[in-house]
Amino acid sequence: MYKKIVPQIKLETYEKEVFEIDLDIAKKFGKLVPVLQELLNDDKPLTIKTINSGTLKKIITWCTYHKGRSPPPEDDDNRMKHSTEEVSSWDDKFLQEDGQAALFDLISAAHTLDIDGLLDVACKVVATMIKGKAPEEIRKVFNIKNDFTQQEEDQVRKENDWCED
Amino acid sequence: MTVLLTNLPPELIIRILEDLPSRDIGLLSGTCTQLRSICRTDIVWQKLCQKICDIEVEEWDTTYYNIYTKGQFHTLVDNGRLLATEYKPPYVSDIHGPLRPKKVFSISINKSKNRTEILCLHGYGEAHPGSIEFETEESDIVFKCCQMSSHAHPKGSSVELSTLIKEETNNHTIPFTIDDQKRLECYMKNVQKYRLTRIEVQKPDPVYPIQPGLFQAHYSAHGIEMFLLKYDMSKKEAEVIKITGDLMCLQGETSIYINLRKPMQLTKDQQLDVNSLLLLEEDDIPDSDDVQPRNQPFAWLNEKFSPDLLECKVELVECMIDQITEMEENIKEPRKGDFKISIHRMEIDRIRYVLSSYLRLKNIQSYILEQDKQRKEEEPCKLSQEEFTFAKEYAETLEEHLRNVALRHMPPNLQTLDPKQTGIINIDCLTLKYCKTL
Repeated sequence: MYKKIVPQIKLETYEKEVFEIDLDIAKKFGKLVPVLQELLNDDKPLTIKTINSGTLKKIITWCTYHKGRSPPPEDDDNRMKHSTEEVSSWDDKFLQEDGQAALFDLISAAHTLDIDGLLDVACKVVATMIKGKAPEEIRKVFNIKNDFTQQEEDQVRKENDWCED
Repeated sequence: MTVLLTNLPPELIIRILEDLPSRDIGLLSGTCTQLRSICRTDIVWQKLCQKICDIEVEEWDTTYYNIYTKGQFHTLVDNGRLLATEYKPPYVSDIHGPLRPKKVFSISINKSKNRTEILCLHGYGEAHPGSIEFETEESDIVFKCCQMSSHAHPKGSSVELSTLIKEETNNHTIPFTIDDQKRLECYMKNVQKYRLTRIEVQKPDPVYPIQPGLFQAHYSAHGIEMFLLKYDMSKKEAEVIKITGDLMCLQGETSIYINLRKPMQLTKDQQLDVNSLLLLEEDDIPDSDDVQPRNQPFAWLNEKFSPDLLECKVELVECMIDQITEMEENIKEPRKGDFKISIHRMEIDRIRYVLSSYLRLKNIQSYILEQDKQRKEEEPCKLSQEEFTFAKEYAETLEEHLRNVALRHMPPNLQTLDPKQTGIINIDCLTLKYCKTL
């Protein structure tokens, strides 16, 4: 019986680990698709030093889960506009289960690989973490060091008069 | 590798900010210097401005941040003086147009006299003296003009009004009436108080019978006024709040309250026939909490439907119907995914609201019975031709109805219909219905 050969592409991560990815999954990789297609028949993997293995594994899981969903049409208006859809509970759990550092890695990897759908939900998750918090609480959540001088802090507070309750 | 939020490249942080309301962006900017400089990037505020309306700031010497956070009124230093500018909304007929900057007052130091000079830039002539006072609340400043006479148009108030209307409506001519005169007086008052109020518009949802948002309506003597429609689905109610205020109903007050718990299901026949509307009993209103709100016809309670009938402005109604048709044509044209379409839709809804609020059914009923008989021949008829026909038919039907129901059971000597008596009955009916609706 004829067995369909699934075309695969090879990606090498920061840890020099090589991943073989099905082309239909790699099609989520936005602007990278033409590059990857050229590499299809090449044995040498594409090295992306800014992505670590753990993050790439997560990206593959995400892309496999969302395989059925077709990416939005590529026109300028659509790129500018954000979907107002809520983050699904699967996405929310998936993105938050490995902690903040993994989430930021994922955002930056999704940006490198140009996976718009993933970047969109991940940014929304971070936005939800910021929403409704006072500066001091935000600093605590994201481990941000307050580097304002007293004078600067007073000025910022004055500037933000309009958003206080 | 990336560990902290602040390690992300700025473009990705900006991307995250796109999902945040303005207030949270402001608060985030108070955390550290890096986030502050990213939060102050003008592209962030441009996107926030675009959510409200399509404006361009390039030619105005200001930033989107200023427009968004300082509202439609802001001050800037210009040639050694502090110049206050008011940004008026785009023309009614051109919602995509730019905001219209209008200089309001300036503060400068007069070197020869060695003192502060506050000038009012309103009016048609030269700049003239004004004064500025601070209210007890710090955010309020009150600007007063000290020389109102300079505001007068050199060619008189009627020329001024028509210029003003032409300017506001972008050349739609509306006849000059006494109501308009009152509008002008309201407009030309000498004390101006500015306060920053941010309007939160609810997201559209198919569950709402009429989508929430801003509406405008022509309120006779008060001119064009703006309202905000918002829902509270947990309480099953909706409110219409005044964005522009007048002496009768101040800004921020509730103008219309809509109860969605007791929807009235009216058949088509009931809606067509005024008599059957009057016969509706309390029992006809279903007392159920689980009726889907989308099926509910609306009971609009309008505080401003004046008890007396004002003159009909057919031109306005026609002008608006024209606008609706024109806009619906336009909507078919633009590119797919153009976000302007939704703005257009909202505008159409607004105009529809204006039209429906102009339905003067109730007033016509009372008017024809009460006043038309007393009207002197030389007075202009306040009803349009269509309304007059309707009113006449209504009067005849009511008379016949009363005759059939009551009069024919009475002794023959009482069977003449006294117009004054029917008037009283009619008022009772209306009051009764009014109480019910309340």
